[in-house]
Amino acid sequence: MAKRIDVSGMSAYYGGFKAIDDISLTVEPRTVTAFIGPSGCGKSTVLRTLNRMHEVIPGARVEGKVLLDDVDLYGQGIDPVAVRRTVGMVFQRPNPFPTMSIYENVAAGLRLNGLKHKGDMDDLVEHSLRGANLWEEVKDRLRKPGAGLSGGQQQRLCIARAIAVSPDVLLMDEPCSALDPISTLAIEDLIAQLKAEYTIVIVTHNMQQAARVSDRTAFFNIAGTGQPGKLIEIDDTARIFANPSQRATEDYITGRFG
Amino acid sequence: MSGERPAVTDTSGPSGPGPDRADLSAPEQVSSTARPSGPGRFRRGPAAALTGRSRRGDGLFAGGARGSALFLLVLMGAIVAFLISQAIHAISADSVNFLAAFEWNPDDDPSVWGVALVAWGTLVTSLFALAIGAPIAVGAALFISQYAPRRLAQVLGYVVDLLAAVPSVVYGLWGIIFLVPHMGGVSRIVSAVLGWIPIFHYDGAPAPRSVFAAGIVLAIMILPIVAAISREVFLQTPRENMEAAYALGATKWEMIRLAVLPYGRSGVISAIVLGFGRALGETIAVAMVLSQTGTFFTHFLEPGGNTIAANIAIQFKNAFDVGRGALIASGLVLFVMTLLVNYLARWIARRGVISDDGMAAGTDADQSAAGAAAPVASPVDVYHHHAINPRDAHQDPGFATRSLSSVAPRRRLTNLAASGSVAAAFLLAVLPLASILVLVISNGARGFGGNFLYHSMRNIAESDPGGGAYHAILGTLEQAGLAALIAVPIGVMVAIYLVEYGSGWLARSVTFIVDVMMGLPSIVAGLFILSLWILAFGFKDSGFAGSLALMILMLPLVIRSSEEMLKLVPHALREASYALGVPKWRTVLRVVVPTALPGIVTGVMLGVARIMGETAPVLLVVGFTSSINQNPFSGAQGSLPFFIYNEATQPYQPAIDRAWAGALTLILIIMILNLAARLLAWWKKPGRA
Repeated sequence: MAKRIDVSGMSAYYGGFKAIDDISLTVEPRTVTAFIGPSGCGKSTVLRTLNRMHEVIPGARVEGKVLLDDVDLYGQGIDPVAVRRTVGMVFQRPNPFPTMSIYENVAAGLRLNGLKHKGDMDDLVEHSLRGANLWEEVKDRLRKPGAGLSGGQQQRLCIARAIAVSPDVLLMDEPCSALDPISTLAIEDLIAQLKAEYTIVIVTHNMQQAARVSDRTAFFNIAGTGQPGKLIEIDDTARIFANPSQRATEDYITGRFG
Repeated sequence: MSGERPAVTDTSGPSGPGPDRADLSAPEQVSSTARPSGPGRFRRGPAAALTGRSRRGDGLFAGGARGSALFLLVLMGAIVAFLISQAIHAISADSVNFLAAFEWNPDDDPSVWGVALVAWGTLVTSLFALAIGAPIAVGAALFISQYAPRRLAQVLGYVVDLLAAVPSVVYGLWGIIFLVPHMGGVSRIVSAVLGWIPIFHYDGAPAPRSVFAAGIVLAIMILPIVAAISREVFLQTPRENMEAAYALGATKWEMIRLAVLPYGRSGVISAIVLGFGRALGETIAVAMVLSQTGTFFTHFLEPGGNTIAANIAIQFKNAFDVGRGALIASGLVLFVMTLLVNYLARWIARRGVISDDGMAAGTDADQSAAGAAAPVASPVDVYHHHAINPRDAHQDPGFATRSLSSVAPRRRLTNLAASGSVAAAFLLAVLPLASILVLVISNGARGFGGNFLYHSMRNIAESDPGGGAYHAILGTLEQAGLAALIAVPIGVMVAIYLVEYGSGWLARSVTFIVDVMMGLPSIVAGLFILSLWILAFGFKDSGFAGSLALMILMLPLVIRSSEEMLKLVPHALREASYALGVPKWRTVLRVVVPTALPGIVTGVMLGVARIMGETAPVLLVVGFTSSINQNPFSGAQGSLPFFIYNEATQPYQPAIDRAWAGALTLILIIMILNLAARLLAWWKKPGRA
């Protein structure tokens, strides 16, 4: 059940430093939304506020609202742990658990949550690995360590691990930045498939990638070092790249800065 | 928002018109049925899913970690408070100033005692050991890290690490059996050659069991630890710094003075100070080598001398009420001394880190004359204050004619002399250590025959051959095992608290306490268990009392090593787990701890190896028996270090043979544990496969 994300009037802080200033945007279900912008503009921070990973960093806090289908993620009685089961995340560097096998990595989300479905687990692992386009490559070595895979395979393993807990939303923080072009292509194909089931938000430095995989694109920018990041505009990807309404967006996309 | 640029132009954002949203949300209903059924079976109710569920586990686990930290705090508080109260009791009974008096007759009436004599002995003996040991150790470390061929260096590094684990009772055994008989001659030579220096002047026939002998044993004991740390520090010299020096045409020694020594300076000094702290607290080897006297000594070669720790070990069993308090007071003085020394070491090490701007900076003593405190690797700096000075170049024919075949003779000679001294230091370090190992192995193997490993000393007179150490081996294994059983869970939980939860006053106090405990002389731990568990609570001597003392010594080792290992777990793994919606406590238990486990186990094994060789604490509390006692909770129990100590101090050859065999057994157990720990660390090292 892919869900809609509504961010309204959201600011994020690291201690006394305001990293994000008053952002509002909407992410529609079953779409891919790309966050682009120069380094340090806060796009990863915004992404991490969407599953309350932001507050894992000591001193970090968030103001404003993030609605997931009308439930405020920062509202009373909301457990950040439960939020993260609903909003999955894939990181910049592939980070499979080094002590676990490929199989255990995929099953980790459920097992670590104390759920045991002995019979179903095999199905779930296979389903998730197929969902991540990795099954054919690893089905004969499920008991081998996940760290033994190539970088691109590791990243797909992390995607399988994320979708195994059946999230509603999948956040990807520069998922291809540590990968070679072939592996990047594999992940991009996968994103196109996953779109059928999940709401996907992807942070990327690669504008071609944003153009290739996303339906909508949000452009973030900062006025200067030490200034908070701001959302400049969000629009259909085709329009952002062909005919953005903001000058700053055009400058960035045409490579005039950033 | 900055006024010039409208910050958001969002055609469908919250500011956008309502219908836009409705349109886009329509497909959601359609496709919820289209979703594959596979993972759907594992869904939880979506409505309730976002509210709390994980809190209780988190609370319990965090509470457990915090509780362990508090326990440690209370334990140490109790130790210090109890020792102080005992000491005050004795100090108030004292009829003279306890800091300044030289006499030690606390149980007389009136009580007359002071720590001045033993404190003086401790300081002088340790300083003497440091003066001999530190330069040799640093030279040996330089040799291993910079001069020895790479493969040999690796082997030597392991050997030094292993030697650092040889228990002090073995050094004491070597000192009393091998060194002391040879000391008469050495002392005569020293007296003849250095007699013009007052401290080395001695008129009578030099006594073998002197401060001089004790200082040498102590110097040999601190060699491996100082060398091991210095070697680590030297190995970390950034390659770029070394290459920068070479690229300017520095000889090997000039490179070392330019890059290696300044980089490692603070690390090496703190290693030396740590070695000093260790020498201060050393008990059993000194107690074995010195013939204690109660007189003030001013000459190294006189018989006699005494140290605080050795005095406690020898006197405690014969002391009465005030006497025990007086010994505790002297133990506290020792504690304060080691504490200050350890803090000095840490302060020096930290100062090195702070002044370090990507590399250790600072001036070499000689270089400071040149007036520069700039980072060493700066090529300009290197150029300016070394032999490759442009001014020298003019007077230096080799340099002026740009000969490619050799450097200036003076520089070549310096380099040669330096290489020679470093190699000599290495040999000086290796000789006594090799002698110890060879004697332990050859003498030990001889005594190993028969039933040494399977028999006890029951009904065997000390003067008779035969008998064995079974009772002692059993006791040591049980005592160390029990100590680990208590120390490991508490220690690991405290480490988890510090790394995963710690902040604020509790974390700061626990870190401080662990620092303090790291420098706790082992005799003081024994003293505490003796006075509290046995004298105050009225329990009898037992193996378990020994375990408690060893536990106090092991706790900081476990906490510190586990803390380091937990810190090494990449933050990305915790984030990956959190992002799967796993509560913190499960993340710690199922992801963080398993990842750090090989390192934690290695640390625990090294800790067990370390406490197994501790003699001083068990000496005071396990009692003495020559029979097998399998129950550590009742009755006196044997202990291998105590066995070695006891046999080594008997005047009979069979007993001395048994002492060597016991030393071999103890070293073998410790080495096996060490090797196993290192193998485990190597085998589980990430990326090995």
